[in-house]
Amino acid sequence: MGVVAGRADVTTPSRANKRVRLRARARFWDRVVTGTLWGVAIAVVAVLAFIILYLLAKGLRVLSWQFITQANVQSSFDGPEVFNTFYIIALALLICIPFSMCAAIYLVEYARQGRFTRMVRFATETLAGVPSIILGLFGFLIFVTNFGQGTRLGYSRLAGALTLVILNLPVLLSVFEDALRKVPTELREASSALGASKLQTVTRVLIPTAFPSLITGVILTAGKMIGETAALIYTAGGSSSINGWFSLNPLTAGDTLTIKLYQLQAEGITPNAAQVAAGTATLLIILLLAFNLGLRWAAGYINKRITGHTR
Amino acid sequence: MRWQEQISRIVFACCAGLVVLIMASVVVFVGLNAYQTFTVYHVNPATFFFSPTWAPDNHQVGALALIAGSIVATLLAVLVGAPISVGVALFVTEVAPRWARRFMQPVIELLTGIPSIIYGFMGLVIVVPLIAKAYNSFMGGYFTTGFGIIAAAIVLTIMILPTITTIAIDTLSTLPTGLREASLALGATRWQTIRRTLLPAGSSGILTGVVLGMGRAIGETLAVSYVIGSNANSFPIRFTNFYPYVNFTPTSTITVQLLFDFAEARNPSLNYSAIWTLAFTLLVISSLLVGVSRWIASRSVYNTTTSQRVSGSREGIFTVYNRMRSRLAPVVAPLAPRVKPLIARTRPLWERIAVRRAR
Repeated sequence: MGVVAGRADVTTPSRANKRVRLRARARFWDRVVTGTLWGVAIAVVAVLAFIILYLLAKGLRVLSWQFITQANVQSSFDGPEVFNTFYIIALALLICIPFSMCAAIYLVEYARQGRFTRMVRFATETLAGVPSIILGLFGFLIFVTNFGQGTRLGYSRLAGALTLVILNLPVLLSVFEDALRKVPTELREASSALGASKLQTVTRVLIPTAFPSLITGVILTAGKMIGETAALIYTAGGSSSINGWFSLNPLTAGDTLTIKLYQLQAEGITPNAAQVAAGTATLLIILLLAFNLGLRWAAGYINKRITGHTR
Repeated sequence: MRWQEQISRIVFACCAGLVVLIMASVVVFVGLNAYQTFTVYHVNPATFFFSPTWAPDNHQVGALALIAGSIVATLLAVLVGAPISVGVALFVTEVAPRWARRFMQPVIELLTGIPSIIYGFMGLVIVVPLIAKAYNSFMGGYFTTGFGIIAAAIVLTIMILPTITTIAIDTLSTLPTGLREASLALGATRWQTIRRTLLPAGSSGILTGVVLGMGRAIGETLAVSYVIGSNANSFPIRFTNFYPYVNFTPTSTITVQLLFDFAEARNPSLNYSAIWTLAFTLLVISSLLVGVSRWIASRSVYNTTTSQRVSGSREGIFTVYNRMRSRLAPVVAPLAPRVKPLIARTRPLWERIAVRRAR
């Protein structure tokens, strides 16, 4: 610095000056980083907005009442897929909720620290981390075929739903567990003090109190199920029959919206595949938006109704 | 009622045990099928894991290219995605005003909720043509279709973003407020607080999120299958004499090969067994990632939910970063004489501006 003697005198900072300089540098970087963080956040929002707007712009004109309720030979309508999506989700939730509820109650209320509890936690976390394609193949092995030979349930809605149950059991379990844990201990103690048994405490106090968060968890899980593909391709089957799709028989094969989108891309035997794909993708994104925004509204409403009455 | 209590307790315990049963049977059944590749079809395990030729019909099953594809795509996605995700988390917890925070919450939730097949669809119609155009015009000629590991990495980056962000937000917002206040009271700016206090304190939580994001990326199937081109025999990385570079031609990953090959595999065949071996490999990798994330989370200092342990030494993202820096130093050092004068020359310029502003 001090090589050029003449300038060194001018630029050598006094102590106070140096403090100002350091402070200014810190402030400068603070501003740079703040700006960057704003930029990153805006970019993420832009990506989401782009995805949604792009799909809406491309597929909105394909959508019609016919498109979401009818079926035809060219499979250019999505009626069966819409029906199957909701059917499989309902079936899966019907099976999944009792099991994960009971398991969550066990973990929160009954379990002591021990080998069994540790094993359950370890299994839950590991199962939550298993890729869905592997669970799809597992479902094929166990539910569709008889360990790889012959058929058990065949490609069917039930097999798909059971695979979804396996996929979402750990998620729902941890959501329920969190919800039950958040119930204040005083309520449990008060219930016991009134002479209620443990089972009575659970059914009369814990579940009603935690109900809003339980419902939120269920809706969140259902929203996740809408988007599931990899686990269903080899379990729910890749097609629906044109005539018999509107039946409640769980043993018929049925593809969901996501599977249809995959089939359109992979096989391309539909004449106007690009158009149908755009419509299906748009339908998926609209469902997703409805579930997520509807969830916020519903959670607020239920919360007001239930806690408003009890407190 | 005594017996009701007993029965309900047993029922609850059985439901909890069901999870264990499911996980165990996944491992056992996938493992049993995977094992056949080596016993029934006499494939050498070394050949399976270290040979890059995947042609089950010719009795050649080498999964190296597939495994490498999965790992490279995941690492690329995490390298780009982790800083961005942490940035978003910092924005939400530290920088954003109230309205922006309330706006970001549903944005992140929606990004989580978008089906992977939609990401794949968008990758196919947007990312792939973009890469083809950019790379071809940059190189001057027709070199790539755009399908390949780069497109997969870009799609995966966006997909793991909400995972890491959510966990990072959780971590940062549960840090004791005293940390922030103490740092700010010492006169630190917001960035100094973030860099010197919040990130080190939250490093284990953030790293947990990163590892879980890796788990999501490596298990992702549909989105990747749309954009990777699925050429099972093309290695994702090429090597020149000096440095490796990422291949711009179609490659494949474990998950994509599982998805595409399983439709054609008939039960007693090498193809079928080899697919299960691939699946088991993936199962092991993802379980390892879950294990690693648990291990990191258990070393967390500011984790008020599990226990108040302060015993474990904190070794998080910054130690890793410092170690990497010391490893990279010999590589970067030759560049320093060129870069340093440049910084020195420009520093008075922006400092003068900053000082003037500060006064």
